[in-house]
Amino acid sequence: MADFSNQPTMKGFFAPTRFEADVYDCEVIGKIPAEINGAFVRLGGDWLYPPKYSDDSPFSVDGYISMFRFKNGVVDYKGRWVKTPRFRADLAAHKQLFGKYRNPFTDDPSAPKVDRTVANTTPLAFAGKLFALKEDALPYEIDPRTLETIGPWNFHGKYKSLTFTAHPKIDPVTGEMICYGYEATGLESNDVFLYTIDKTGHVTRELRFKAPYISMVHDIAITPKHVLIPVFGYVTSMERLKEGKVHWGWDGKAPAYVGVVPRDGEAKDIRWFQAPARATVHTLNARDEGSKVILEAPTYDSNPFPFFPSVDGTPWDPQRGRAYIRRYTFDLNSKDDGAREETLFSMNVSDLGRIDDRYTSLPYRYAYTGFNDRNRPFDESRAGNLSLRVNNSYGRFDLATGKMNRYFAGDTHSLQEVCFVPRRKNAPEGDGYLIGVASNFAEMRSELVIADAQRLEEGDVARVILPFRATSQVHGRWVNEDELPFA
Amino acid sequence: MSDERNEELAATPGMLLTRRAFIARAATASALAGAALVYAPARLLCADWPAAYDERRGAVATFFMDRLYLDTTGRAQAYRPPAGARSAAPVEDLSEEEFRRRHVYV
Repeated sequence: MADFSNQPTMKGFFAPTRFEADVYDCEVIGKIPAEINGAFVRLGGDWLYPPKYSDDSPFSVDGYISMFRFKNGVVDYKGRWVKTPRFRADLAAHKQLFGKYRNPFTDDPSAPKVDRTVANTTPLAFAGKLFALKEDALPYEIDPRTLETIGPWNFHGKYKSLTFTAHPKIDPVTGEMICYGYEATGLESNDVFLYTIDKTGHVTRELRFKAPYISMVHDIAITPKHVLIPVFGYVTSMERLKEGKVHWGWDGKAPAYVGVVPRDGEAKDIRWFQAPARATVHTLNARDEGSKVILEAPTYDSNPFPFFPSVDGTPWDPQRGRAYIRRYTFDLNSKDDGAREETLFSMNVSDLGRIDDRYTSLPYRYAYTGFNDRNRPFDESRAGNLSLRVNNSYGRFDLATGKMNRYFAGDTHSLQEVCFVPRRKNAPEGDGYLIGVASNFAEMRSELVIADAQRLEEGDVARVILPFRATSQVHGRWVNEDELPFA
Repeated sequence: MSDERNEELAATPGMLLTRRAFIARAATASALAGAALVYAPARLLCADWPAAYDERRGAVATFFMDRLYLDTTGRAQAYRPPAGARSAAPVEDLSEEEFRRRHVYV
């Protein structure tokens, strides 16, 4: 039986929703741009049963995939659980069988020895297939027509890592996917397998190497010549797992590295630059400039996640758990392995930053992400007092000029990760729409906002109203009409 | 026993005191005390007391979500709950760490 009565943080808007949904021809305020056809696919989580341990990570939440399907100016919504073996086992037992994040030693003795992933992080459309990704397992293939779960996928048997990142990169020039798995040979291994997969879904290249230490490698960045691999702060060990702890602990003394890997090189060619001690959970983009490789990312000053506590008992510092858009320059001609850091904007932002994906690996100008604009009102009387914790705005950050344009979602709203949708396939960079889901705490519902990326101050072009709370999202991706066999 | 009978008993000194009657009496007492605290000094200090204020109406006490709201403006208005669902309210008193332990991306 599901009992959430003892979960003080899962109340009100933050209570689990626990249902699957279909909404046809959604209510719309404004006019959906007729030129964008495809789907905004979102992946996040919803608890089928409460976590087995109160100090578990929210990253253990059961995966839930949803989709706003755009077709000729009309939007339908669909949401489904990602029905992993773990989900099915819990459902059959009518309780949470699985313990802490990536720690099988904390599972219920009756838990079956199945894939522990909850597949809850990033949707991916590639080679005509739709996947739900989480970095502790293989991708789970999803039927794009029904959003029903098909099962794990290993790229015709040629992908050998046991894990697959939540942040593969698609090279817009070659159509190839650069992807990887860390802890690739099993729990607590520091093996990283790096792959190139062609646009038909076949593995064309594999590179195996060791990370400097076992750490979270959540995201990477690519250039036409290099793959950049951040390693930072989070540590783990088998002893730690056997002690019943959550997978990661934060070690503020652990060095932060960025590995620069030639895309056509071997393991011996990898150069580990020692970067400033930040937490680089997500990247924006990277590029080559002569002998320099440049990475831009919203990096945290320190540990962003209090549920991965400090290994030395240092209390979590919310002030240092904030992200700023920064630039890192690695000089391949330099004799030392240091890096130059610049903070590009003084305001802290959501680290779920995005770009126009057509410019991945290439010179680009705009980054997009959410932030809390304190100059905008928040109606506590209607929404509850969450004013300092919401992302009430999306920003377009001009990396060339330092200028920022902003979109405000409303005085009872908080915005989830933004996504850029080009107006047309050949539209110039930045010509398109910002879309994302806003939580409306006053109306107890979710709203998909659509704004012209070049006219953010003008507000919505359209807003899709759901008559309920959509499951919380981690990442969302826009998928064009011709990328998947949609219904 | 019907509510009406309960009310009758409650209204009789020395008889059963119902929850409803207790709350009503407590509210009245609180309202009177609150009104006196505001009214008396204000009446002394304010030469131009609002002409529209009807002294006979007094203060008004209202309960919303187990909290007492006392109107001391002199307008004798009942508290009206906000139009929104206030669906963030259940987590608003959590510390930043407690909140982010469960909700990373709001």
